[in-house]
Amino acid sequence: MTRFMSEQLLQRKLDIAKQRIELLEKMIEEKTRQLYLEHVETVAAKERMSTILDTMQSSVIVVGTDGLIQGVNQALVRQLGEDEATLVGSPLDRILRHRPKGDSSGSVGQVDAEPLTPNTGSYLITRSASRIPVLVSDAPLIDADDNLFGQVFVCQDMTDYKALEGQLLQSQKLESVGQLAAGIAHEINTPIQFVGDNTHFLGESFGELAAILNKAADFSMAEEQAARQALGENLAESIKASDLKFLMEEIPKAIEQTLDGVSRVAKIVRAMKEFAHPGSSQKQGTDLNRLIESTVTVSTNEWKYVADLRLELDQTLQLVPCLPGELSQVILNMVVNSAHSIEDKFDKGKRGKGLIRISTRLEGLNAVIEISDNGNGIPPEVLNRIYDPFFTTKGVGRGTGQGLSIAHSVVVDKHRGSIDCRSTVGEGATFVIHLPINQQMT
Amino acid sequence: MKENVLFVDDDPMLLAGLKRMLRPMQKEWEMTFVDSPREAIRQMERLCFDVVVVDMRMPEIDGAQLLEEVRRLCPKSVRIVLSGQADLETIFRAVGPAHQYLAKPCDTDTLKAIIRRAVELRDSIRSVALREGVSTLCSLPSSAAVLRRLSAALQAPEVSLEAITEVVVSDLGLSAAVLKAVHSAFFCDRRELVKPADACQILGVELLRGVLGGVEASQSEDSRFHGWLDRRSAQAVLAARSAEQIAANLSSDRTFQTAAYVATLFGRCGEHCLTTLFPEEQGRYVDSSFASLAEQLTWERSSWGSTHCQVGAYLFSLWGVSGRVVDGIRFSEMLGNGTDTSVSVELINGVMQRWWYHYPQFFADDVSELPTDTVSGLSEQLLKKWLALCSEQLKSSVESSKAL
Repeated sequence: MTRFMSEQLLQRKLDIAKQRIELLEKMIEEKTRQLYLEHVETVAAKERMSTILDTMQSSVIVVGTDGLIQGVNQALVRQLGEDEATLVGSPLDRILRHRPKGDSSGSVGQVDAEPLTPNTGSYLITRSASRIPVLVSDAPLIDADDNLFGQVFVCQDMTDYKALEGQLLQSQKLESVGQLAAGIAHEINTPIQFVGDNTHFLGESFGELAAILNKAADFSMAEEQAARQALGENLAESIKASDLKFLMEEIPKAIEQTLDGVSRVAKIVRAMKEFAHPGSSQKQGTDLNRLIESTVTVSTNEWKYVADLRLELDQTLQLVPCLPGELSQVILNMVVNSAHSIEDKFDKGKRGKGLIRISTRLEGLNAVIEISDNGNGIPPEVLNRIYDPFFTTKGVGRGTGQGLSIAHSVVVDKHRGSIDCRSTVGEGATFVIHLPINQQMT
Repeated sequence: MKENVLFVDDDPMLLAGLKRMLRPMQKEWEMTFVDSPREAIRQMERLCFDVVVVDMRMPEIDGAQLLEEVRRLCPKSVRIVLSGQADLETIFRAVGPAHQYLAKPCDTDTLKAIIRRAVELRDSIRSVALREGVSTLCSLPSSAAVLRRLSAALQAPEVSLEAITEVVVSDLGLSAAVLKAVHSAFFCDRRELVKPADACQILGVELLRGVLGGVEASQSEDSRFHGWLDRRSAQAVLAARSAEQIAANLSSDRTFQTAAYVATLFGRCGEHCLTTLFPEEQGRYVDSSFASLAEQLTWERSSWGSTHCQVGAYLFSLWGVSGRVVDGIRFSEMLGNGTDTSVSVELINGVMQRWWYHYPQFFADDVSELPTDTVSGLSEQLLKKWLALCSEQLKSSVESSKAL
């Protein structure tokens, strides 16, 4: 009986075991299937990710905490003309020079939360050692345990933007020239008027004098007494009739003023030429004093009715490397701003004239230009917005708010200088520009 | 008697140059040169100058403001701007108070001629009050209806120069405003002799906007007067077109034709001046109470000492309009002698004035006679040809207004 019982029992146990095996096999199959699907899903997701990273236009660089590149996308490969293989493992600053706002080291670990303004001067270095201007945004990479394990940099190509920016600067310059044109025409036409009038006068005066001289010549050559007498009387009458005294006084004055008028026109034309010249994109050693003088000449009509302008220029200041076309635009914008502020305060000249002072000096390793006025001044709450693009407190038609923003961009970004403003409301404003005299000729 | 001329410019060298250059004129003019607007006002308070020449760009008080003061202090002064260049906004402010605008550099002979011409007709208007009145006029009046049409044309979503020109050309007030703008160097080189349509082309939409912005509707509240203004404009245009045709018939000289057109167009503008300055007499003109031109001229002489022809000529001389047109208006009142081979602008104008305003019935087809005051010296044949040309104009205008 036991043996039979055992057999049945064994058979049942076997069946259960078989069932369990089947169940397990099913489960394994199921799991395997699931794993397979997840795997496929993961691969697909990874590929999508890869495609996204490699299709996007911006370059992506992942950098480890050691400052070495761990991964890059295809955009970067394309931009630099280098293989991924040679990029991975290289130090970041071989290919990217990046200066976050307020920091010149650009080292990893510096997290810059603020969006960078376009003119940071960051650039990628390609295999052929040329540079691509880029807008860089970067973020720290932090794992689940809150440990920093790297940094990711996204670089956007700014080449086109830079070109547009260059055009914008030039068109702002031409816009200024246009706005100044009416005033400049007046400054030229007035001297030309009196040059013409004086020359006309000189012509007529010469006619009169010639007639008298001829009579004098005849008189002096006459030999016969009676003839001498007649000619002498005639001569005396002519002299009386012509008001010789007036001619002798006025002719030299007319000549002097004519020459003055001609040189006035020449000066303005020369200043115009210097001002309107687009200049090169390379910095050149520039006489800042002369640049300021010609900008002041060109803008004369904007300020002369409302203010006096005093120049206190250091004549020993050496040539400073800068972009003269752009710097003169900055000076012009500031002079015009000062003139407008004075015009408002002094009610268009009805309550007297204001004063604009421009000075230059050397301070350590910087050339310093100071422009101050005694206009309305800038209230403190406005002071930290004055460099914002298109910010203006002027009425319609009196400026587009680009002047100071361009000034900032030119001085700070292009010249690595600084621009500060001090102001007291009701008393005026002073702008101080520092330009390093040791620019790398970039 | 010498004229008193005042020159104002803040540039002392410019004044010195002018003084030297104009010295020979000392026999004709008593000249004063001041370098500040304030000093100029002081001078004007002391003496009423015949001509004042000012620069636009001056500190404190600019030329436009100064001229407004001059207009107030001494309405009969001729106000001339001599300017290097000013922005459009300032120029638009000068368009009203200034009679003429000269651009620097202005050559000697032009300056002398303009000042001379400005004072030439001074003595033709004996009444100082009348002279002052005419000199204060910035423009001729237009009817309210015309200004509405102008406003519509200027504010249309698709502004068109053609539409604006059409309104301008149909109205004497607007035509006068554009002519004044073009006869001076306000916006362009001076043109001596231009038809209103061409003046519109020269100025273009933006400038027209500024120029016509200053034209005022007649202040009169009498709607019949506004109606009369419109009728006058319509008659004037027809008469002018006839005059141009007649001139074309006589000579291919375009200047002659244009002069005939413009002189005839504005032949009656003196009436616009007189009715604006003396609104109590508007009724007389509106009701056509004069039986003939001769009667009208006699009445005007006895009331004001001058005829509408003299008044119109004076106004246009202040604005620097071509001497040919000025004379063409001034002398149209006398129907002198002419011959078929020598017909002057004033003769054509004179005939048109009489025919169109007093004898339009002669333009009807079935009439074969000539109006009674024909011109001695001109052949009947020529006059009949003129009559035919006028009839043609009338017919084609009737047809085109039917077509509208």
